Amino acid sequence: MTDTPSTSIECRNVTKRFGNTVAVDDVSLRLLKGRTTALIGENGAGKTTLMSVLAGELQPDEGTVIVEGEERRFRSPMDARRAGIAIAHQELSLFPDLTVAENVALVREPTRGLLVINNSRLRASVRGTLEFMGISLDLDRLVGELSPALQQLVEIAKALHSRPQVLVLDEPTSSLATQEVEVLRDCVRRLEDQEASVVFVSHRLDEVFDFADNVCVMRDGHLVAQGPLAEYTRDSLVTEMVGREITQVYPEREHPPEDRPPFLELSNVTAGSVRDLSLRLSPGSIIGIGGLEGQGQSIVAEVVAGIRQPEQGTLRVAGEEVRLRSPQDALRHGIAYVPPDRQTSGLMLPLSITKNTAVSALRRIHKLGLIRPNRERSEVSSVADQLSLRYERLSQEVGELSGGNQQKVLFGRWLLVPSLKLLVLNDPTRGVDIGARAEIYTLLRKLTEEDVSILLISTDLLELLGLADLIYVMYEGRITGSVPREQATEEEIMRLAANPDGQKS
Amino acid sequence: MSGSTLHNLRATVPIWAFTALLILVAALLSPPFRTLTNVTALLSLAAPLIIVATGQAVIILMAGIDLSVGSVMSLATALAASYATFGGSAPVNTILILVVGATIGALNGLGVIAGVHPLIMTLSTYIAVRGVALFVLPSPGGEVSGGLLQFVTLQVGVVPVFFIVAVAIAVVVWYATAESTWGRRLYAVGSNATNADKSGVNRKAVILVGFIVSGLLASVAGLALVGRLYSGDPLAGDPYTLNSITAVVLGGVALTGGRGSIIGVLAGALLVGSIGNVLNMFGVSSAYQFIATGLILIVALYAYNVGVFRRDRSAASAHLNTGGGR
Amino acid sequence: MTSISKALRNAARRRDLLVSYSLALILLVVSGLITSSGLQPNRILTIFGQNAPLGVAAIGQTFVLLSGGLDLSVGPVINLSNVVASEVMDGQNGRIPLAVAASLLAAALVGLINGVLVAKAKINPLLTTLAVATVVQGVYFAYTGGQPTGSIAPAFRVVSNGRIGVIPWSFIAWLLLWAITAFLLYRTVFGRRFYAAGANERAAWISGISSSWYIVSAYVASAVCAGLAGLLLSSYIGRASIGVGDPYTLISIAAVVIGGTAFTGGVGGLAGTFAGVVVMVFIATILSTLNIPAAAQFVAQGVVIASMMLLYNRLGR
Repeated sequence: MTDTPSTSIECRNVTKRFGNTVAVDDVSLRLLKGRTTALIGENGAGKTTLMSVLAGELQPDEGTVIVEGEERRFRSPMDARRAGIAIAHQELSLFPDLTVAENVALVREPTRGLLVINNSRLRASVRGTLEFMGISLDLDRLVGELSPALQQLVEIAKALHSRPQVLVLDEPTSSLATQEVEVLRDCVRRLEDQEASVVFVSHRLDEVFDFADNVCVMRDGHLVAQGPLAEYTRDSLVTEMVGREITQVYPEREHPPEDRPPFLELSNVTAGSVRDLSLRLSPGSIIGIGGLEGQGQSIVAEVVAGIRQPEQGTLRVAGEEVRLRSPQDALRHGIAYVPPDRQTSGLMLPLSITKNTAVSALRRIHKLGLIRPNRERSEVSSVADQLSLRYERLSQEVGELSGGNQQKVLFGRWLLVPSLKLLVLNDPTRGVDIGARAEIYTLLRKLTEEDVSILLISTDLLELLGLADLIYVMYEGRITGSVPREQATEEEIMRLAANPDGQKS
Repeated sequence: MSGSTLHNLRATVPIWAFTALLILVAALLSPPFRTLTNVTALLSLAAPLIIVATGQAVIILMAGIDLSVGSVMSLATALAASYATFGGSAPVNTILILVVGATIGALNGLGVIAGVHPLIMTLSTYIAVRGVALFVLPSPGGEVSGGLLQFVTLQVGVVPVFFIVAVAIAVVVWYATAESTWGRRLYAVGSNATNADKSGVNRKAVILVGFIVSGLLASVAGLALVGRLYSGDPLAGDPYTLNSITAVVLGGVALTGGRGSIIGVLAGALLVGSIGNVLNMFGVSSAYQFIATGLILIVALYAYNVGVFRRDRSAASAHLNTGGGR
Repeated sequence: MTSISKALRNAARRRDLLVSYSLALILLVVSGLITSSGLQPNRILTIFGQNAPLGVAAIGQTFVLLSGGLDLSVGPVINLSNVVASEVMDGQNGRIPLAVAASLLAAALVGLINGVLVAKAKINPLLTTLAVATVVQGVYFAYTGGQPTGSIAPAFRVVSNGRIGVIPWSFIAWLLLWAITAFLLYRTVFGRRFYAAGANERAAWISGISSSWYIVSAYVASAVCAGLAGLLLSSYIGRASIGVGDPYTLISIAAVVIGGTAFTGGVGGLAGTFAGVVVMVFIATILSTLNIPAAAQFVAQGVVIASMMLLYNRLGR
């Protein structure tokens, strides 16, 4: 770091609203040439939304983006690309039926004449980009066949391919193992040498300190801290992210878990990429499953929830061996599932809050099969209060609620089912703001006090560390280790997650 | 050739094998099938279907659907049979027909861009264009210009010229979809419209061009149809809507878009045409042909579904404006 | 009466209902104005009676669209019902119950096939119902050889000819069906689960609902309604007439869509469909009063459908 670096790009007073929710509130930040800025914050803080504005995917309601001193309005991602901004998305923007080379070069294909793609030049240019990144991939593999880690690298390569002046990496390491993260870091250094600006959006504070020079912290849509990373410690960053003492977010356990026979037992289960997996879940406890994204955690959740049948192995619920052929089956045993993609698999978006919340308790609420709207409304209303749900009317479409409130509706659904014994949660607080999360965590604690068990699958380490009594870590479909609460640290989990000694499948 | 093109081509081997097998078996088992007259009949039957299926494939590749192709074909025959009123001479009449087809396609495209679901938009055009066709030519007949009639019934030996035209069209459109920048964006939009937007694809341009191509090709298919009917018929194109979709699905193009090759659709169209030809030859009444066509489509769809990764299967999944599943 | 005022308040929030009913009312009034004594209740009720088959078929189609699909086999099922009723009845009053049962059973069977293919085999509804429609067409063509036999019993013709007071029987049948299906959809647990399954089949399944069976029921309902429509039509024409049901496929879809039910599923309902039917019927009435040829009616229908969809898009529905 030599002389004072100049500004490459700036956001000034950017505000973005979705209906009633303000996702980004009057944010101004500055990116410097040749430097990496970390953009951190909890799920739902507005990081991705802000970056979407920067990358031209969303139009801000207020404020501007200033590139090299000039105010710009990006009407489309192409506009932003032409201005030298590229983004590697958290939700990959790849096409499974196109090859690696085709994905990386999309929309920038070299042509013979006007329209025909020049394949040899295309491949050469993609090879060049991959070399710059320091990786090598089979250009002709269909992206859909790649592992999540390789897919993430392709997404990054795609952003790099346009040789951007500003590169945004949104959670680029969520599927990457340690060696791959190092390769990425070297690549980022090379970009800095070329005076490019890099934005590193991440949860992983260790990596943040490794990658970045400056940091911006977002919380609830606001930019709450900005400056050189050297001025912060891990703890001070966490406090800024969370806005309160960490202990206030994750409620303490009142009664320690007793040693009782497990409510749920998986023995030698094989399903899809999951191999020979065994775990157990004590009643009234929170069991976490962590690890890198896409290592089979969702498959475990789906097996427990009755969505997926194991090819081998057994499930025992309350000591009894069961076959769960459908979520209905699972429900009969008191097992309920909150899926990770709330909009596609959890909620019926065009239906009202009432209808979404009551959907699993219809038989109980409406005796004789005849609808009793008053009883339904009062039950839903009391659950909504319990969850501190923010809404206009119970009859409003669930699609109009914010992410956090939508997630609460999903929880509320199961609160109306008194026979609930095990709640399986898959990535339950993705895109949920810190306030709602604290409320959800309190609810989860309360449930455990009532002897409900929780199976929590999450890539959010802080969440796992804050809530779980025991954390299983998975890699490539197997459990690499289980860490009880007392011994759980970020380092230990990451160690188990990134394939330690000899756990090759 | 690009990687995905090769993948998609490789996937068409089964359908080509099956089609070749069927034709071979029919030729072995049935002397009438082997006659030169029948070869001409088969090729002449297949020509309009190949052309309209190619256009339909373009739309289905982008995760849409075009229900109006049957009506556009009918309208083309109606206009051709009224050449005196519409154009007065063969060249003008033909150009008019092509322009009309492309315009209807453009209307479809604009409607879809404005946010109307492709199914409903092309349904509306299907109904409206049917009305126009009935208006132009209330009942089958009319008079086709001599020049046009000569061209559409031309044969090179045993092979109808229009069959050659049809195959040429299929190959050209295949190349455009597989190796041009427009084609790449077409596959992207069909695969995941949201990701296409994020990647900077101009979705509106892709949609508009796609529907114009489909409308244009439906017109051309109508001209090929004139070569079989020797006159106009305002309802002759109706069966081609389902048949074109059948040909596309049999050809391996997924209804959800983004996968498959028009070379496969060529095989699919030949297959559907051959089955029709074989059934005709065995004197199977059209009633039983209906049953056969319907059952074949159901079996084919079921087979593809079972073999393929489970996709969202609502009618609305053939929707250009959503990316990913419901 | 608070439930009615609440219902009205909710209805007012549904701008699509406002639009469709306004359009329906305007068209109804216009059609009355351009005919002498056109606004006589008798004339209007007669029109409703004559178009009860469409009303009934559209109710069935509504179920399918609510489930997130499309039923393109409505026309052929109407034809099938007509042919079966005619054959079985064979002009004899005593055979009416048998004929009605046979028609509805045949229709239900087709609906079951559609439903199972769509919901269990997971085949695209557009193609499934189109393919099944083709097969059904082939079946009755083959069976009748193009020359259907039998005829409708005189007592059954009462349905189309008779009235209670001024209201035609067929219109009453339509309204009765509306009432029953509305009760089922809006006042029972079945209806709630049905809407949930239609809005998001997977989410409903994860919530513990056997959503695929609800999807199947939609297609059975549609086919049975088509069968009923076929019976009403049979009563009108008195015999079997191949192809009598053909126009109903597209018009029933148009009516439902104009009424604001989206085929993404879970959105809309029977009230809108009624308005949609009225719209389609009175467009045709107006055009025929003005002596505009049938061909132009098609054009008008196509334009109306597309325009309404664009309008609903604007309204954010």
